[in-house]
Amino acid sequence: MTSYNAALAEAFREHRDVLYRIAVARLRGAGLQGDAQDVVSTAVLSLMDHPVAAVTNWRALLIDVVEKKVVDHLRSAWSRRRDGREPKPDDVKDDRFDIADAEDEIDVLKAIQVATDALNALPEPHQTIARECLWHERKQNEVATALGISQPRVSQVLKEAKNMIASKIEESGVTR
Amino acid sequence: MSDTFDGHQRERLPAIALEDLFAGAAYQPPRLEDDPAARILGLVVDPALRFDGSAVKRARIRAGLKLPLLVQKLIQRGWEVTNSEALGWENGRSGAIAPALIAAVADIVGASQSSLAASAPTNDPVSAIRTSESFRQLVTRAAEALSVPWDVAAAKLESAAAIPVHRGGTPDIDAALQSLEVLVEELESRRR
Repeated sequence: MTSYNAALAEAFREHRDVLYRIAVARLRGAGLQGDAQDVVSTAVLSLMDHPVAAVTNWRALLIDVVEKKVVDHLRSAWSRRRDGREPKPDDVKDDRFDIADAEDEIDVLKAIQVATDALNALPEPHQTIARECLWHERKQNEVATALGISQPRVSQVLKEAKNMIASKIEESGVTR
Repeated sequence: MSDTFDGHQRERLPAIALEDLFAGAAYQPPRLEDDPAARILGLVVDPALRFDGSAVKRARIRAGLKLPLLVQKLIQRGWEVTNSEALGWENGRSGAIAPALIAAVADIVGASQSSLAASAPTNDPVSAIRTSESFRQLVTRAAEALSVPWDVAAAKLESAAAIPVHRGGTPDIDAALQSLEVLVEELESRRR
C-alpha cells in the first residue's frame, strides 16, 4: 500500500519536466516564466495540504493542479499590476504569434509536442531559421548575419514557418 | 494585460503563442536537488537523516521480504538503488537519505517512517541554517515578496543555502545567511 505523500513524491519526480514545461509555456505570455518554480511548488503544497482521494492518474492530476495554480498566479499578478503595486515586465514581446485565446481550452503539452514535431519537419531554410529564432530565441538580425541573408528575408521565412507550424497545431485539434 | 468592460477593469489572461510553446519545450527544469518542490516532497537528500539499519532489517524480515525484493520494489517505484546500497543501510553504513526514500521503504515493509529514520551524527550546516531565527525571518519576507506560501519560500531559500553543500563546499553559516539576505532583498526590490 503506497501512502499518499510517497505516491505524490514519486509521481512528481517522474513528471516534473512536463509540469515545468507547461508552467513556463502558460506563464510566458505575461512575462512571468521566471515564476514557474514557485507555481509548481505551490501546486505541490496544495496537493499535500488537500489530499485527493483514490488517485488513478497522477500525471493528469498534477498537470490539472499546476494549470489551475498558473491561472491563480496570473490573476494575482494582474491584480497587483492593476493596483500599481507591480510594473508590467518589459520582456513581453509584441511580435507574438498567438495560437489560442486565454479562454480557449488547449492541451499545452500536446501543443508543445506538435509544434516541436512540426518544426523538425519544416523544409529548409525554414527549419534553421525557425529553430534559431523560436527555439534558441535569437534575434532576427543575428540570424540574418549568421546565415548571410537579409533580416527582411529572415522575417519573411520565419512568418511562413510560423504559419506552417500553426496549421499543424490547428489540424491536431489541441485547441477546442 | 488589463482591459475595460462596462466601465470596470477586468482581467484578461494572456493568450498562448507559438513562442510560448517553444519556450516550454526548450526549458531545462532545475536539478532535483535545486528544485524547491522536490525539497518540499522530501525527494532531496537531507544531510541530517539516515536509515536506522537494525530497524529497517527487523521491519523487512517481519514483512517477509528478502533484501533483493525490497530493492526491486523500490526500483519499480522509480528509486535508483542497488542491493549493496540497501545492505549498507541495514549494516549501519547508511549515508544521508532523502525523506521520501525512507517513506517508500516504510510503505513497502509496512512500518512507520519515523521508526526507520535516525539522525545524522555530524553537525549539518544546512540544518543549522534552517533552524535559525534569522532564516525564519528571511523566509517570511521571501514569502511576502513572492506571494507564495511560507513552505514554498522556505524550500526555495533552503535550496539556495544547500547549493554550496551539494557542490562540495561547507558554507559558513553567517555567510550563507548574508547571501540569503541579499537574495531576499533582491526579491523585495523586484516587487516594489
